[in-house]
Amino acid sequence: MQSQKFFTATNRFGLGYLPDPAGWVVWAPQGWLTYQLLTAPRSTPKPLASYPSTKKILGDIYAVDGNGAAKNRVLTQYRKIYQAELIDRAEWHITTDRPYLERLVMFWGNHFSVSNKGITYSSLPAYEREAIRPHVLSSFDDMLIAAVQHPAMLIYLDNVKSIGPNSKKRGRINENLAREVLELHTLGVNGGYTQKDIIEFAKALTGWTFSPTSPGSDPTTGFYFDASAHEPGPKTVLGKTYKENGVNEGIAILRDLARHPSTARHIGMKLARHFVSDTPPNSSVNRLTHVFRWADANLIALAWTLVDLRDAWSQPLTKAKTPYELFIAFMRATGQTEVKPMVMFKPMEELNHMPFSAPSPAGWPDSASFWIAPEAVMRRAEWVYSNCIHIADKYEPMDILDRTIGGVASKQTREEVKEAPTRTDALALVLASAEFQRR
Amino acid sequence: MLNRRHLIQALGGSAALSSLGALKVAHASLMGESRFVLVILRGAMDGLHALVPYGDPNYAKLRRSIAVPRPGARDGAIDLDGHFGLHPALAPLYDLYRKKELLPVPAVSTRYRDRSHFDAQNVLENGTGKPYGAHDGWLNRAISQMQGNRRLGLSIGPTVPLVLQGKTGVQAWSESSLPSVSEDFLGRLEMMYSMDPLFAKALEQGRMAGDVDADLSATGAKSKQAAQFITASKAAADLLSQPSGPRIAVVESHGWDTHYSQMFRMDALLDGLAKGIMSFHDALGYRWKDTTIMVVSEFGRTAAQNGSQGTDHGTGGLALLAGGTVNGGRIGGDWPGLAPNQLLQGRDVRPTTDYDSIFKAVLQGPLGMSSTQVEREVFPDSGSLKPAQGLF
Repeated sequence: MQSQKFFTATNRFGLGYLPDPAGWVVWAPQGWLTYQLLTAPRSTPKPLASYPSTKKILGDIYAVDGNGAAKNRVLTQYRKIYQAELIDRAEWHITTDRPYLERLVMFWGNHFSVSNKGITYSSLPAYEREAIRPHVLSSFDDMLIAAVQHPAMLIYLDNVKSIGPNSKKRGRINENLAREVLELHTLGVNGGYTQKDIIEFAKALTGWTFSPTSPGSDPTTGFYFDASAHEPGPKTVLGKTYKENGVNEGIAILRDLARHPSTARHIGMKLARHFVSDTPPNSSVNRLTHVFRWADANLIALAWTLVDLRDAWSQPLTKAKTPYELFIAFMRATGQTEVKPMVMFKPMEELNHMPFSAPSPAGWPDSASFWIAPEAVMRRAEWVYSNCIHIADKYEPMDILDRTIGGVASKQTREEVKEAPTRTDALALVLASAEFQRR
Repeated sequence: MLNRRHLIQALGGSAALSSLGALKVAHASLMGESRFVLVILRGAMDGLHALVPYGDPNYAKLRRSIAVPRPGARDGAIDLDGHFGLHPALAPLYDLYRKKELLPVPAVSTRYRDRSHFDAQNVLENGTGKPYGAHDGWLNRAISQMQGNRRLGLSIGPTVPLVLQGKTGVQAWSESSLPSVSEDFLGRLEMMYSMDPLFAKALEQGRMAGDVDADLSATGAKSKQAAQFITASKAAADLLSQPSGPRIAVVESHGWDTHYSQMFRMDALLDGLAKGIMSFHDALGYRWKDTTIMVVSEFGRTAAQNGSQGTDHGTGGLALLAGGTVNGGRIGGDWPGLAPNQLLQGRDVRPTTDYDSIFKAVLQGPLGMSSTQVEREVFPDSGSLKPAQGLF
C-alpha cells in the first residue's frame, strides 16, 4: 500500500509509478525529487543523443529543390527518424528514474510550444533537445533566447519571413513571433505591452532566420542572423530604447523581458497551475513569483520551490493526466518498457494528443476540463480496456491498484475492482479509474 | 468513418493447409452456397422481452411495470400465434416470420446452471457443456472439418471470440482501433467516478453522446451499441455476399445485461438487432435462401422484474433462427410456462432446449456435415444430446 505522498511524488511531479524497493520515495518524497535536480546530467539522455541536429535535418530537407522523387526520399527518411525518436523518447519517459526532470522538459516545451508547420515537424524533437532540455535547470533567460532563436520557432511563427522595410532586402515586418513572445512566453496577455511595443520588438527580431549553409550559422540549429534583412535604427520597447546592435538587440530585449515583473507573475501562475491545481491558490502563485524574481529567473530555484509548496502535497488528484501522460503511466504501471509504434501513435491520434502537435502557439491547455471531456473520457476508457485484454493474465489487479493509486483510491474504486467479473475488467478499472487518470 | 476501418486481416492458422488439404476441399464443397451467421448477444438477453408470452396470464404479473403491452395496445407486441408476440422494435423481422423464414425458440439454454456471464459465455462457445472445457470454440472445430484452401470463418470485432478460436485460421474485420467497451464496464466506471464530479459528468455525457454519433445517423440506430452492431452486421453481410469470401461469420452485440431501465435500453438494442439481421437479408440477395442466422445469448433473465425496472441473471433464454433455410413462421421448442411451479427454482424460465442441440442441427442441416463429424470432432462427449428436429 502506497501513501498519498508517494502518489503525488510519482504522478504530479513524475510520470507515473516506479519501483521503490528501498522505500525512498515513500519516506522522503521531497528528498527524492530534489535529488533528481541535484544529480541531473547535463547531457542529452543516451537514447536520444545520436539523433540528428536541426541544422542537419532542415538543412538536408531544404537542400533538395522542388517536389520530386528526391524530395520525397529525404522527407520519408526524416519522417522515419522523427517517428523513431518519438518512440525512443517515450521509452525514456517510461524508464527514466528522474521523471521530475522529464516533466519539467515537457512543461517548458509546452510553454515554448512549437507545433507542426509543413515539413518542419521533423525538427521538433530536435527543438526540444536543443532549446528546452539543456536549459530546464539553468536560467529562464537562456531558455527564452534558445527557444526564440531556434529555427523551428522562427519558421513556426513566421519570423523567417519578417524583413525590415529599410533593410537591404526591403520587405515587410511580420509581427507574429514578437507578439507571441510577449503574450505567451514572457509578460502574459495583460502584461502591460502595446501594439507599438510589438512592432518595435518585431523590428529588432528582423534578420533572425534559418540558413544552415551561411558561414557563421549556428552549428547545431542552423540559426543565422541575416544583417541584410535587419531593420536598421534604434527600437523602443516598453519604454526602453535599444540602439542599433544587430542580433544583440533582440537578445537584450529578451533578457529584459525575462526579468520583467509581469513575466515572473505569468510564469509563477503557469507553474502553480501545472503543479498545484487548475485554479491555484494565490499563496502558491506568489511564492513562485517571488522566487522567480529573487533568484534571477533561475529555474533550479523554481523547481526546488515547487517541491516545497505545501499546496502541491495537501490536495492530491486536482490535475488530470494528458493522454500522453496516461499512456506513459499505463506503461509504467504494467511494467511494459518497449513501445511499438502503433501502440503509441494510434491512441495519441484517437485521443488527439500527438507529441509536438499542439493546436496553437499557446501549447496544450493545462486544465482538467479540457482533457476530461465526454468523448475523450469514453475513448480513454476504450483505449485502456482494449490494452488490458491481452495482458490481464499477467497481473493481479489489486496489486496494481495498491502500487499505483493505493494512497488515493476511493472505497468505490476498490470495491468495483474487487467485484469485477474478469481480470481484464478489474485491471482496466484500475487503469481507467479517475484516480489513475489524475495526478 | 470508412477510413478508420481496418482492412481484413488474416489471423493465425497458416498451417491449415496440411496434407489433408485435398480432403478438406472435398468437405468444403459440402457447404455448397450455404452461409451461417452466429450472432452472440453478450450480457444475457431477456427472452421474455423480445418474444413476449402475452397470452400467459403470469407475464403481466411478473413484469408489472416493464411488460411489453399486448398486441393492439399502444407500442404493443406484434402478435405471432395468439400466445406469443414480437417486441415492436423487432417489427422488421415480422416480414420474415410471415415468409416462414423466422423461427423463435424460447426456453433455450446451455447445460451451465450457474449465473456468471463469463463462465456461461465460455460454455456457449467451447461446446463441451462445462466452463473452460476446451481451449477452442465449437465453430472453429466445425470449420476445421470444412475448410479447404480458403478461410471460411469471419470474425467481426476487435478480438476473435472463443467460438471461432482454434487451430483453423479465420478472417477478422474490425471497425476501429478503439473498440467500444461494454455497458457493464461503463456502469462500473460510473460507480467509481461518482467520487470525481469532473469524470462523472464527462462519462455521463459521453455515454449519452452516442445519440449524435456519426454511426447513429448512418445506421438509424437508437444507441451507440446498436449502431455498432448494425455496422458490424453490414460489414459481415457484405463480405459473406462475395463469391469467394468467407461463409461463416460471428457477430457480437454488447449491452444486454439489463439490470436497470430495461424498457428504454431493450428498445434500442432490439431495434439494432432487427436492423442488423435485415442487413444480411438485404445484402445477400439470392443467397438468402441458403443462409442461416442464429441469435444466441449466454442465458436468460429472471421471469420477474427487479427493483430497478430491469431483470437479473436467469436461465432459459431465447434463440432466434432466421434465413431462407429455416422452417419458420411458428414458435419452436417447448414452452414450459410462467406459473410459479413451472419456473426453475421459482425464478427463471425453465430451459427445455439445449443450445448445443440446435448447433448440431445447424451443422448437420444447412451446413451439410455428417453426424460422425459433428459428434466426434465438434461436440465430443455429448452423445446423449440429439440434434434438434424440424428446424430446417
